[in-house]
Amino acid sequence: MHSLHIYFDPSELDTTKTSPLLTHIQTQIVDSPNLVELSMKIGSLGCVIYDVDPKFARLKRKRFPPLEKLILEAFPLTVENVDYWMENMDWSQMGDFDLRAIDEPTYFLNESMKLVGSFPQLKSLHMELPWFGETRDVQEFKDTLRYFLEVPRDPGFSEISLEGGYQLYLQTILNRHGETLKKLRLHDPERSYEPQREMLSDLELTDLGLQAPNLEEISVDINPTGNGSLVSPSARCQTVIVCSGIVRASQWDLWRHSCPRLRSHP
Amino acid sequence: MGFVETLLSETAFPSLRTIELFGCLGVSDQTLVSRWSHVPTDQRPLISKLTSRPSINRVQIHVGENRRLGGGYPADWVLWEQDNRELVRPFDHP
Repeated sequence: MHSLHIYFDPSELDTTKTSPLLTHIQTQIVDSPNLVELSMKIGSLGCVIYDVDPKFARLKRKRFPPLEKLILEAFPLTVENVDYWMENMDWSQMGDFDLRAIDEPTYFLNESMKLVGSFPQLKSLHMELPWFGETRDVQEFKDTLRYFLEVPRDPGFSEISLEGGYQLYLQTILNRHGETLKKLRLHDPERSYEPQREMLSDLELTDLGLQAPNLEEISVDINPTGNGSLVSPSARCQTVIVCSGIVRASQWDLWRHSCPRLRSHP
Repeated sequence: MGFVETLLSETAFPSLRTIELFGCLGVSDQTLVSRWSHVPTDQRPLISKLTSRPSINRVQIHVGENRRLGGGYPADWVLWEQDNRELVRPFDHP
């Protein structure tokens, strides 16, 4: 077995202790020495979010095989589980981290950095950034991720994907990995509240191209008429609606699709 | 040079083969966009321009994330692909 993708039904996982289902899968993994790709996803059921915290069993007889790709989606990176990962996995072949819908990846990143010298093959990082507040934990996460990206590598990453507030890391990415990047995905999802996402300006996009000359694939956010501003159309629209005295808009092309109530333009 | 023109510039992005954009269609949250016919008429030139550079083989455009966040719907997208300058997937299939 080279590849294993597991989708957990959250209702089948115990919320607080070692899960028989996870233990069974864990046994299959350690008995698969040729396994190179592992994906573990905990699903959601519609709008219902299960607060599950499955724990790895303490198997003593074998370690995890040397994975090349690890995808974790909504899988709890508790201190207990991360410690298990770190102690019981051969990270020497790890080439691709993919962490999605992870609430608390800070500890995982911190521990990973301790082992960064053991990650000679790491080429690709995909991460959905947590929704940010301004707590101490969030600041710690930001510092950790930035440091993770700053750690010198030779060669640098060839693929980086950040979903969420990526702006804080962009210059670090380009400085450290610009020359080696072939795929770059920077996507901050639209929001239903303010402040709206920020987008690359035309000038920032030009700089990105100069600093990442080998880029073959790019994913970025864009306004209907380009990104001359860091403010999204919907944010502008809300501003106009709030200012009810405004009857003319000078950037109609930018606004009109998002502003059905706007009826006048120059 | 504008945003799209920069992406299409051989000087700025000499090796680029794939472009993925999020949010450029500018449609309302109630509009389904999964086919070319759903793309607002005035947005079509912008999107067609993205396919004009011969070395670009894939263009994917996402729209409707606000709706996904608010109502649990998946975001819509349209996709265009060519292989060795032969069109294999027009902007018409979800």
